[in-house]
Amino acid sequence: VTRFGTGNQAVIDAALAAGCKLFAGYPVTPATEILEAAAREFPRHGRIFIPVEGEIAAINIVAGASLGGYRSMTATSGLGLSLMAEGLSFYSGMTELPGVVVVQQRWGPGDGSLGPGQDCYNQVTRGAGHGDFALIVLAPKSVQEIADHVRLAFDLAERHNMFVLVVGDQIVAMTSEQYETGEPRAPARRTSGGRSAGFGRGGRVILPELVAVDEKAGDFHALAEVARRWEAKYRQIQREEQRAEYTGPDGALDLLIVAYGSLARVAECALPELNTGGRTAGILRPVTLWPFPVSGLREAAARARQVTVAELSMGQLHADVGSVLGGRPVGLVNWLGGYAPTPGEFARSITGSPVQPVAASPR
Amino acid sequence: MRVIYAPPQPVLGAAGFDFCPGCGYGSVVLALAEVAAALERAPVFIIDIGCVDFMTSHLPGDVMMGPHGRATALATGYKRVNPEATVCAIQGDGAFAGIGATESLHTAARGEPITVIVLNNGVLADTGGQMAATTVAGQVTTTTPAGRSPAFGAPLPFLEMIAGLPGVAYAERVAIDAGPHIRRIHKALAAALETQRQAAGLSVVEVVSPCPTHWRLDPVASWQHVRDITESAYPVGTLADRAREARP
Repeated sequence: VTRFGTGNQAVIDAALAAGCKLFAGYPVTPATEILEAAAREFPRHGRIFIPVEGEIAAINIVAGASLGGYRSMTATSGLGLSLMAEGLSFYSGMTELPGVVVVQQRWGPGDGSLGPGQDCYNQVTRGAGHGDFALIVLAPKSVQEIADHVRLAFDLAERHNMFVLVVGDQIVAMTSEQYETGEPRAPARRTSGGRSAGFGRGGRVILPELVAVDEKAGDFHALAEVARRWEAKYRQIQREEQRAEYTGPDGALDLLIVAYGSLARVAECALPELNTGGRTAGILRPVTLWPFPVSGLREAAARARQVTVAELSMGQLHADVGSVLGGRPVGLVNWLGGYAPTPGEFARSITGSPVQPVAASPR
Repeated sequence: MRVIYAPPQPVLGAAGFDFCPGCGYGSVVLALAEVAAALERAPVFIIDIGCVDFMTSHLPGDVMMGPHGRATALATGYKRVNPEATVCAIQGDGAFAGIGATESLHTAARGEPITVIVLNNGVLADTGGQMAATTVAGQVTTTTPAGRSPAFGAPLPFLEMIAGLPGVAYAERVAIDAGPHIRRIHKALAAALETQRQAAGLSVVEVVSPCPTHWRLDPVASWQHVRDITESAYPVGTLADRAREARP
C-alpha cells in the first residue's frame, strides 16, 4: 500500500499490515488522529476498535487482548503514557505480555504545550512505570519510519515478550509524506511466545509468573530466580537490539551531533551547511532510545573532536550521552516550549554552542 | 462411609485455603467451582488485587491477576478477541466501587458480555482493614477509628448505580449470612454465566461477605453483621435481569 498521509495515518496502515486485531484508545493531541484512523479502518478490515473512557482502560484492554493471544495496540502522548505506567509495569514488566504503544510527544510537564517536544525521554527510557523493568523504545524520524517501526515493534514485542513503545513527536505525527506499508494481513492467534501463549487453553496457567511462584512457595529464592531471568533478558536485549544511524562524512569529525526523531531530521537538513569551510560534522541518531545505542555512539564519538547533543528537552538525552561517553565534556543545544528549529537556526545554534557539564545520570 | 458431599477439584488444592477463619470467600470459590463444572469449557478468571488473590490457585480455570481495579478492562480485552470464552472478573468492593469505579462503570455502559463477581466486605481487607467506598455508616476501620462519619461520605451503592444501564443484563446481590443465602450464590452465578453465554450484556454478582478479622467480630457475629447491613445499605435481590425470558 503506497499512500500520501500523516505519520498518524501511517501508524494505522502499518498496524493493519502487522495483523493487529484490537485498538483501544482515548484522544490526546498530537496522537488523536491515530485513534480516528483506527475508528475508520479497523472495523472496515474486521478488526476491533474500542473508544474507551481513558488511557487506563486502553492499556488494560490492550493487555487483555494480548493475553487472549492477539496483536493489540494503543496510541497516546506523554500525558496518557503517565496513566498507562501502572499497566505497563504489570503487563510488560511483571507478566511479559507483548503489546505496542505509539507515543507522540508534545513538550511540557502537565498539560504542557501542543508543539513538538522530546521531554518524555526519561519517562520512556526508564520503563515509564514502577519497578525493575524496561521497554524497547523505537524513535522514528519520518512518516515512513514510523510505519516501519510499528511493524517492527510488533515483531520485537513477540520476540521478547514485552511492550514496545514507538515514540514520535508532533512533527512525525502530523507531517504528511508518501509512505509504503504492506497489504493488510489477517490477525492470527499466537501459538508460541512465553507463558501467556498457553493461557485459556485449559492448562491451569496462573499469570503473572511471580504470582504463581509466590502463591506456591512464598519463597524469596523462587522470586529471585524469576527476577534473575528477567535481568538476563534485559541484558540480552541491550546486547542485541541497539539501533543507531550515522549520517555524515567518514573519518575524523570536528563535530558529532547526537539527536533523535524529527530533530535528527532537521539536523540532516543542516548538515551541508555544517560541512562547509573545511569543517566536518556528522549525526549519530539513536533509533532505539532503549536499549541505548552505546556501541554506535562510542564508535562515532571516538573520531569526533567535539560531541554535542541537540534535543527538545532540558538535557535528558544529554545526560545519557555524557554517561555513555564516560564523563567526556558534551555540548548541549536545546529548544523548549513546544518548538523545533529550522535547519538554518539549527546550524547557527550548534556552531556556537558551549560545552555543558554532564549531569549525574542513573545509567 | 457414604460421601454425601465432596468439593469439586481442584478447589481445595494440596495446600488448603488461606482465608481467615469465618471469611466468606471460600463459599464463593466452592460455588464457582460447582457452577463452572457444568460448563463445556473451563472459564478464564481475571482476578483483581486484594484478598481475592487468596482464591488464585483454587479457581477452576486459568487465572490472570491484573492491576488493582482494572480487572473489568483486562477481562474486556480478553473477551473481545475470544468471544467464545467464558470470562469472569473477580474483584473486591475496593476495586469494583473504589479505585476501579471508572472501569466498572464503563464496562457496564458498553455492556461487555463478561461476568463480574464482586466480594463486598465493606473494607480494604488485604491491606489491613481500611475504609473503603462501601464502608457502612459508623463502621470502625483503621482509617475511621471513630467510625465512618458523614464527613467521610456515605457508603456507595455501586451496584444500584449501574443496574439501570441498558448494558447491564444481570445484576444480583447475595449475602453470606445463612445457608439459604449461600445456596442463592450458586443460582446467581449460574444465571450470570448463562447471561454471558447469551452475550446479553454485563452480568454482575455482588456477594456481601463477612470479614471477621477486620470487622473485629467472631464468625457468628459477622453473619449477624452481614444480615444487618443487607437490611440497610446493601439489600439482597435481583436488580436487573434483562435476559430472563431467554434463559432455560
